[in-house]
Amino acid sequence: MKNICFINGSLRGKKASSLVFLNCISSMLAEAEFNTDIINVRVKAKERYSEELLKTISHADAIIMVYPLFTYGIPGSLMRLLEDFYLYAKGKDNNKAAMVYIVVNCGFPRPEIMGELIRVMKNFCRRLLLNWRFAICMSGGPVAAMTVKTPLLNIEYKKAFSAIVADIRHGDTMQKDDYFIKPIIPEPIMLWIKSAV
Amino acid sequence: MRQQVMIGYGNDIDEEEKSTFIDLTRKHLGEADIVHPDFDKQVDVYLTTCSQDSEAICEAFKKHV
Repeated sequence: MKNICFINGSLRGKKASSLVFLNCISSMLAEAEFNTDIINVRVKAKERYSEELLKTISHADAIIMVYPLFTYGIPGSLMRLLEDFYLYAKGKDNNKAAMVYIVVNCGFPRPEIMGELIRVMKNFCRRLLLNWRFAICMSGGPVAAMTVKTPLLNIEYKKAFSAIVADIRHGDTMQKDDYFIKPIIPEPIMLWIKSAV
Repeated sequence: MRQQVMIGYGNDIDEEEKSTFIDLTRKHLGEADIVHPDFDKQVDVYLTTCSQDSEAICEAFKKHV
């Protein structure tokens, strides 16, 4: 049975769009095939994350990080967790074959704005010799979170999430392209709504 | 004109990490009107990996103060 570690990088709790995406992917993983753990980042992390928690990440066969874009990069709370994990895993016997995926959402209309963020995560994986797989970048923020739960409108999202599940299941090694998913509402209307608020 | 200066540091970073930092922070120039409305006109980005770099950054920074 493969161990899957989800990292929820949003601090918005149950209101988080990231949690919607995380739950959607998690529901696609059959319980008989996968053992899943969910780690939530915490606010004001004065103390380091526990060794037990970091051990969970280091022993995972696949790490799926789901979080919002924050000033074109990683949210500070997630950055803190990754820093702790880096110090913990560096030079230790962590699972270097662990497959790494990121699922990121942002309020901008174009998902391509997350290009540098992907590079940051690739650099992180390279440092720890982790197996970077691919990213799913979704723009439109709450619109995307609503769409993903709507039958017929959520085809692109389902396709991307299924790609993660299939990739883990088959243990694929060939590098795959990242997914960039635009919201169902056209960009001019998104911008109009934004300016009207 | 208000000026935003970003300085990164790290003594063991490689070229790709360096260019990622510079590209990422330069995104705040022009495209950052949503995030930093007051700072979208001028952004300077530096990255130091050693004391010599830091000295060069200080020299470049003098023009702002």
